[in-house]
Amino acid sequence: MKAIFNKKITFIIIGLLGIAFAVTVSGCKASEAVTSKTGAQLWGENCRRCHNAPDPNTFSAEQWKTVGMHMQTRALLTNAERDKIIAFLQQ
Amino acid sequence: MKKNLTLVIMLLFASAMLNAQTKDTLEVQKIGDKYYVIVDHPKADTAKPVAALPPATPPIIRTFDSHFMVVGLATIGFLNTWSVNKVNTPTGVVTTKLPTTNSFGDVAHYEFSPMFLWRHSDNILIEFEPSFSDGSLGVNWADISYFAYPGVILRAGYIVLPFGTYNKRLAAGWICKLPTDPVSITSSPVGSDWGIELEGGQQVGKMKISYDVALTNGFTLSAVDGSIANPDVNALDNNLGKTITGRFGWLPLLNSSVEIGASGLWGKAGDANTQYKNVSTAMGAFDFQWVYARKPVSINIKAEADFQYVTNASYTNPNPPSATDTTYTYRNFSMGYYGLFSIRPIVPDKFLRNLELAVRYSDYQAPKGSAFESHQRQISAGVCYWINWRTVFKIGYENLITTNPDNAELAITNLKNAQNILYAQFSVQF
Repeated sequence: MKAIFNKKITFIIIGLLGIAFAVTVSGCKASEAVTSKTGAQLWGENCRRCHNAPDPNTFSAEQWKTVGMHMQTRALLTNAERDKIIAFLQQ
Repeated sequence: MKKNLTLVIMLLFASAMLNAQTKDTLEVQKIGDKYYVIVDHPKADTAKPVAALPPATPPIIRTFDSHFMVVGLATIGFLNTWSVNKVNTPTGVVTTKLPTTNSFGDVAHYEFSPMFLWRHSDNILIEFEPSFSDGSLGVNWADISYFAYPGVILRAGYIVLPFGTYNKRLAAGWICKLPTDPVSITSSPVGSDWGIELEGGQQVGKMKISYDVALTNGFTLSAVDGSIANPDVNALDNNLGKTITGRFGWLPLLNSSVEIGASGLWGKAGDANTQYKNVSTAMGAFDFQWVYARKPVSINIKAEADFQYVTNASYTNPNPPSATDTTYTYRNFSMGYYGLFSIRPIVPDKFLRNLELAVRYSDYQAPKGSAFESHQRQISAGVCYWINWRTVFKIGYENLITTNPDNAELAITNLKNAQNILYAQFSVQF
């Protein structure tokens, strides 16, 4: 039992190290392709990871700020993504 | 006769829902005086100007309404169930057909959960979601989040454990594309617990990563059979040890269409000052999702595999073979998984593009040799009709086979139950 468990731990550690390596190789700075994304693009890409993209008319501009904070905690959006999506939905 | 009546009622209900349709939900969204085409992102922010709208009236700022809001979800279902029990005996298989049920008020398939959000400031958010489901009033979460720095959110309270993605993101009826949850999820003790949490997302080149770590009271161990349960919201911690749970997410593609996650959990589960004080739980999970949207279809694939290991211990045998042999032990290991595939057409016809077909396979194996040993295999298929982006009517079929073998030591007789369920479900986010 212990040996099986140790094998699983080893497998997990190797996997995490592989991910960390890939992250390092790709560089840590947000690229131009990322920073130039519009709020509309980010809305379409990120909301639909879990559910349909919301209709901007659903909430008021102030309410979108609250919803944006809530959704950031669920989808773990970056601050830049959250702010751009909220700005788009507030239009 | 009952089945025919059920079908007629479902068709009438479906017809009413279709007539209630008011908006496009996938391909086009109208914002102000422009139309945006979602599916062509990121290539085109296709703005198709239309006739200008009359000048908008100046917004009225209402402080209370601006900072406090009530959203939430409601789900109501109807189901028709017919099932069969089979028992292997020395003389052959004994089959028993169980009575068909046909019910609206099914406690496992409705939910009313208003969510209260209070934006105290640009850095503090307070969330509370009570929930009326499963025949009782409970709490899904109640917490305070502090947005400390970009990519750093601190949270405290009654929080959803960051383990896998289903509980935290996909469980809501208006998000889940089928009327039920996977058995691998419903059989897992992971839910909400009291504690603190640290989470955030970060852009790393063209990729994104996210982390989510929580320290909570932890699960409780049943001294009767060694099963693990999520603690009741009212309960104090049953031991001094705390449970650490975490998930690491990786979105390797620029358009965030693929997400891969790994989760882990470890903590003491046994009651303090008992023979089970050193019994602990270790869990792991891997999750994957891929979202594709390009004409003529939108495809969604989601999967999650969980495993759970609990330190081996001895428990009292309810049917001891002798006066001196009163305990038993087993390898307390369980695992489950699910995979979901859904497809939705992106076509000009409004009716067709609001349809979504979904199929899911889920499997769960409870610890072998335990008093609660069983194997569940669940196949689900259904059709969603999206009335708008957050309102859905679903019709689904599910085949659930639950099997447990003979266990002579615990005097348990084998049983195979095959359940067929036809669902109609309406779910809305409000």
